[in-house]
Amino acid sequence: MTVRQKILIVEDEIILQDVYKLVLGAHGYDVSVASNGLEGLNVLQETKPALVLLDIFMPVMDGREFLRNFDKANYPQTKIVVYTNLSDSKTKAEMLGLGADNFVLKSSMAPHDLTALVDTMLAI
Amino acid sequence: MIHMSQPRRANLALPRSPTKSDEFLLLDNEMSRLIQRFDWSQTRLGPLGGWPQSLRTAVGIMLQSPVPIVMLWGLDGIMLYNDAYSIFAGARHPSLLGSKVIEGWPEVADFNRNVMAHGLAGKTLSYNNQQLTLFRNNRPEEVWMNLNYSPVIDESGKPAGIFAIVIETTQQVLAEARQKAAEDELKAEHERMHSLLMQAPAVIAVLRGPEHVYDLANPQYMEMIGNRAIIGKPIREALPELAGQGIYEILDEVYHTGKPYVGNEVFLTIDRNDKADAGDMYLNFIYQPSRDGAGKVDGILVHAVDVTEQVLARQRLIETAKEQQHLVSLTNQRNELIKLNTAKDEFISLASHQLRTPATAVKQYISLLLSGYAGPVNDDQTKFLQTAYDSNERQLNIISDLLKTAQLDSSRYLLQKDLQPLRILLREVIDDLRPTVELKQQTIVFHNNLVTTTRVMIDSNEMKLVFANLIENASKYSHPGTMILICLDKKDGSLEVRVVDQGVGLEGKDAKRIFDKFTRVNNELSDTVTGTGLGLYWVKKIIKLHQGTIKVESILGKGSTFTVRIPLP
Repeated sequence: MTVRQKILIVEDEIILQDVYKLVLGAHGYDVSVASNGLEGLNVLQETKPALVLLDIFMPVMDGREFLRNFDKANYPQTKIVVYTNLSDSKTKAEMLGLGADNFVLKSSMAPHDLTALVDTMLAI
Repeated sequence: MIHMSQPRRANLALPRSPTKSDEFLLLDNEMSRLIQRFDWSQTRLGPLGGWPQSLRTAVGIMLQSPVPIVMLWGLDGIMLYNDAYSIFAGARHPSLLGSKVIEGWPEVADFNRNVMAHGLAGKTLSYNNQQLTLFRNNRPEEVWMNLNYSPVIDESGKPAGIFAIVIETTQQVLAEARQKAAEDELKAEHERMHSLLMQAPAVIAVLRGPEHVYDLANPQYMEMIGNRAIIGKPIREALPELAGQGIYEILDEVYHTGKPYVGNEVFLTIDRNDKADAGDMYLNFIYQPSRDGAGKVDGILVHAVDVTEQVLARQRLIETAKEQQHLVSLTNQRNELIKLNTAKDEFISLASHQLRTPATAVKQYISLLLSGYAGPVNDDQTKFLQTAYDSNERQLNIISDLLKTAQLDSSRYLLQKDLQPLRILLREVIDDLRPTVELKQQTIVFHNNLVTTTRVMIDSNEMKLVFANLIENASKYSHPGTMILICLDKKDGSLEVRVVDQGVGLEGKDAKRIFDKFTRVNNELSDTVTGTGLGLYWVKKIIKLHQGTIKVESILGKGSTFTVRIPLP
């Protein structure tokens, strides 16, 4: 059995946090969660995940600040998917500019879409 | 230098006692005595005793007269005169007595020769205010005299001498001359004033009397009133259009009170019969009462300046300032609107985000239930859950559509344009939609009529949305077995795309409103078609953002043709 890949979910909405953790966990990933950017940075340091699902709107520290504080050099293996319900092209361009690897509209994703997305991202 | 005769010394050495023949000399005055004592034997007159009666009578009359009289007797014009004349003679008296007139008054010898000639010829001479220069006081004197010369007839019936009444009028003449000079000066002053008024750059008129009769009006005034004949007319008759404009009343008051009136930027309408303009003008003016010698008001001096240009210029300036103010306020309003718009955009963006979040959760959990994650689901449960899922999806779609609409409505929305061959973009859209269309047993045909690759400046994402919408609509509102034709052409400096269907078509009234927000047309297929009624609104918006055009031609029951034109770069 291979080592389960680690995924960090940075999401302030607990019911979403729960369902994503449930779905991805059931799909075989090692999932940890954080409720804002600051928590996310701490967990990131601890777990060094293969992928971060990053919400934008969050209290304490939002997704933008997280990306600004995220030092890619320290986590060369970590992919970041901005996973948000903001859909405007301006925000998308901004987040990709800050170093995100992907930008996905949360509301368009059913659980099986999410697992497919993560599988694809980590297979690359 | 006038030659002066040697004054003859009166010979008073041999006083004689009066004789009977000297009775005419017994008067108590100087000249009677001098004539009596004079030695007339030295003259042509001869001794007193031998004088003819005519001479005696004339001398007698002369000596009694208070009027200056001189007698010129005989061919020599020997002078005899009375007391009054002696005063006139000045320093020449008394030596003048008994002298020849030509020698006694050498400076006017020619004048006296003429007098002698006329008198001895029996003629009278008369001069009024005759001017002569006399040296009677050893200096030249301008004198004026009234002179009357009458011949005196002697016993032989012939003129023997001349009886001359000499009244000096120098004082009167000088007084008259002074008066005349004063009058002339006054007249000249008046003329100077007149010419000043006539030449002044201002508008000037002089009104006389209580009826304000025009006495004078300078060319500027005449020009102002359209060169009508006003001189000699009262103002109410001369300028009848001023009735009701308050001017007559002001003039009446100035005349009666004697107080000047100053009008500032007074608006008047004057008939300028030779002018094309209406004669509306603004005047600054002064009505200055003028007074006669007794200080009573006898007229009014009108002094006016036409300030129409200045007033209009100022009004224009004020208008401009107002416009500028308006412009500033418009700019402020615009900035305010931009702020509001920005706030609205942000609000919509946030609201969409907030609305999506719970719907996203619903979607996740229903999905889990449907996938059997929480245990087996029977057919009815699956059906109900699927309905809930679909409904949630529709809500998410509506949120996305509203967000898209808000983006396109936003003044800040910017297209990401680059040069693209429209043919390739169309091909992509058609290929994407082909499975859906064919599922409805419809065919889709693309006619590219361009011979070369032609690029246009477009935002490819938005333009895909345009053609996807048009083709989806064509499919949705057509029955199975029909064809959808897409033609690409070049027309009038644009690329033209026509999307032609054989669908249900549109009524005329619907064709006009299908590009409006939230328009859904009722037709035989409406019930089978879902949508928010925003698709064609976006299409039109996006085409407009590309400076393009879109129009629809449709026949009910036969089909519709949507024609899009995108300008070539």
